[in-house]
Amino acid sequence: MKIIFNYKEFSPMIGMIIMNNAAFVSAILFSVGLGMLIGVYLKRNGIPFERIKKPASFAFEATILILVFLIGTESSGELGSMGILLGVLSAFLGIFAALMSALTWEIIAKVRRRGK
Amino acid sequence: MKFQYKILATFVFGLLFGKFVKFNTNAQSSIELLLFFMLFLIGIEGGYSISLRDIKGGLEKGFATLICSILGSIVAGIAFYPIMGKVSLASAIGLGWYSFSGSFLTSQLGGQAGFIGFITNLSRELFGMIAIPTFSKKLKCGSLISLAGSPSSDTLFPFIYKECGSSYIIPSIAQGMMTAFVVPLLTAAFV
Repeated sequence: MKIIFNYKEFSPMIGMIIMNNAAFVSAILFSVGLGMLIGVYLKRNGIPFERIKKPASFAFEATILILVFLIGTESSGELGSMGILLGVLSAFLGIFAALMSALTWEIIAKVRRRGK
Repeated sequence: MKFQYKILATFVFGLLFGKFVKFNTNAQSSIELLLFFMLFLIGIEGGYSISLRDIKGGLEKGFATLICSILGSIVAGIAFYPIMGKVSLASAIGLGWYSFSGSFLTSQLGGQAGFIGFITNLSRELFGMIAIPTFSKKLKCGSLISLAGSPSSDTLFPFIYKECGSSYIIPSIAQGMMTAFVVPLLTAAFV
């Protein structure tokens, strides 16, 4: 495992990736921010949230399902072109990493609770 | 029908549809548009219920979940090191950011490493879609955000919001934003 790397070689690439991602991150912040502003406006004007909750949650669930469908269609091309064993191993690594991350939080929360 | 089954069925249908029906759409931009619409909807409820104090506490919690996410991924990378070599650490530390991990590892270690990085992180994101609704009763919301990794501010954000409510909007977004800066550095360090 080589921890030290050539910053001169890597930094322009990392910078470019961060800049590309910055546009996406800005769009996320804008969407949430605009929604929050509308939420604050509704609250200040005393409009009950229940009035928009039902259509909003329906739209929300429908959007999730469309999103998952589109991700499925996108993934199908990638999954078809791989070596099966390597793909399965990599998939296990991803799942294991996710589970270990969750477990780390659980352990830290338990230790902190015991410390109090 | 439980929501996670609907998600699983929809994903499998999407996979089969993409495999057998050749249609020419720009799915990536449709995904982004839907995502922004969903974040907008979530923002409305956030604006209704979040205070400034919640924002400060949320940022701290987001940082803590990020640390757990990194530690957990390093442990997983080390566990797979004897089988896959150094690429296991470099791809596990992608924290679910498959577009970055795949392209970065391809450029630095070649096509096979890029493929491993891509599948590792894609599977983490897909697993999150199933795991977050499934484990939401057993795990704390902080764990769910750590599990999600980088997509906690985009594709997995609606899932976290659905299970944890508006008090976890800020930690979830904060973690996703921070990973955008941390993951490139960590991946490069482990290459």
